[in-house]
Amino acid sequence: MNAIETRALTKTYGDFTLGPLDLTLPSGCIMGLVGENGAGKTTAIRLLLGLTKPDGGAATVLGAPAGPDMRAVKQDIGVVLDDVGYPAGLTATQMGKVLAAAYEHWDMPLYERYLHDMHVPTDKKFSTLSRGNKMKLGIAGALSHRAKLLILDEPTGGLDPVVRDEVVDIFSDFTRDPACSILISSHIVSDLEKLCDYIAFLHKGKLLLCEEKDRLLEEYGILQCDRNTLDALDPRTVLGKRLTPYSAEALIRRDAAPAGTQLKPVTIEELFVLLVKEDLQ
Amino acid sequence: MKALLLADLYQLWINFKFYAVFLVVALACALFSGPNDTPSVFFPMYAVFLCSMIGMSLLQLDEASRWNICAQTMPCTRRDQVTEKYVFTLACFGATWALFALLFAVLAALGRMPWPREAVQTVLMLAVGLLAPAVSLPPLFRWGSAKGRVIYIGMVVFVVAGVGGAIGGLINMKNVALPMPPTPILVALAALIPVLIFLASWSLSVRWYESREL
Repeated sequence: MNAIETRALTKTYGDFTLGPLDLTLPSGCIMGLVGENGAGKTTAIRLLLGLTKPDGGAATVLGAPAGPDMRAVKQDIGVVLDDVGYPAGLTATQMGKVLAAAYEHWDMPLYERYLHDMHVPTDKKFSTLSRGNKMKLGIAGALSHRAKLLILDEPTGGLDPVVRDEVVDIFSDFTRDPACSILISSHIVSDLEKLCDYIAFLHKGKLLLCEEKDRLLEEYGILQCDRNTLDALDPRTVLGKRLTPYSAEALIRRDAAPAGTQLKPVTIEELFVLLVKEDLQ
Repeated sequence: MKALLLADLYQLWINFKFYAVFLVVALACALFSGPNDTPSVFFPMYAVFLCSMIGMSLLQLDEASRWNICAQTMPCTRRDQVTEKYVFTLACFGATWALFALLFAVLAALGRMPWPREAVQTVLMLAVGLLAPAVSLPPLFRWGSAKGRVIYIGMVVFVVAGVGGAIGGLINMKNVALPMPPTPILVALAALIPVLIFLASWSLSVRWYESREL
């Protein structure tokens, strides 16, 4: 069973349209949603959680249709929103009791362990916590009810590099169970590169690419050359380029590279930036 | 819904514990401030009105912290969210109402206030306590706290100034007199109508909140 499936999912707000979105996240895998601000990542997540009604298409989450009546399936979903959204006056301890009342499989010792390991103050009001601690509290809440799917909207934003690394490890551990999956959106592409099996690029509401990460890294490469060599390439093979007064870099498919050329391995961040820049040009 | 109730209970304790002091003051004022050694009408009404608006204040706090959205990612529906706020409102108002109703009953038994007046005041408190949230909650669920509050104030002005004025004018014009002491049927009707309006308000809030984009 796929953890998430969307087919031609669309949503329009004024002059912004998300989609059509066709995504498939197989169980046991991690998919990263990459996109600039306003690309539609949060809208996509809201559609999957039934917070917003789609204008077209359909989505299923853990086999159930996404929509407002997902009460049963939400027992198996852990969510961290970009601003977490816990009540301002509650402490981590009080929030644990609230979440325990909401989830059938709530594991209080596990929650307390996460809070302890991530150094989250348990007696401070949520509104007085730093952004990093708020996010860590949200992550502890999402991980402590034996969820089968985590949906995370910018969960590593505001975390320092050390904690970010720990959190990324926690997410990796989570998917050791083949029944557990993660959909994660982030600006910090390096985190997604470490973590994800699949990468989906969103740009201005459109899905530019959705592929297995390893396949993306295998299929694409960076050609470093001079401008004359770049101009001589078939424009259809050039998916993105970066020009400086002295040299040029082109993102191309390895199978379309001119014979005898050496391609530099591409990172997910380079792939995304070059694809988006090409689209903007 | 248990989780939502618990969250609101914590919020109540954190943000509104001073209401307990206010209630004690209102009780004392009610006892000693009325004319001819009878209890005052104003303070019980005011206390019941304020306590019936706690649900509305909590809803605004939820929106400010975006807990209303976060709660939707948990195993609860929008109907649960609306129902919880109405139940919580009912509990806050109900406790205050019961407190003053008991006070009036004791005072009536002691002969400090006549039974008809006790019945009218108790029903009036019930009406105020149920109608205030019944009017305020649907616009908040439909349009959110910023827009909903403006619409709510407009509605209160309309209801109080418009409907109240119209009824008063009608009574004056037609020379209609309210039966005094009120008949038991009139008292029961006056109690039943706010209850029905409160239930209709809950139903409207569910429908409006389910259709709202969060």
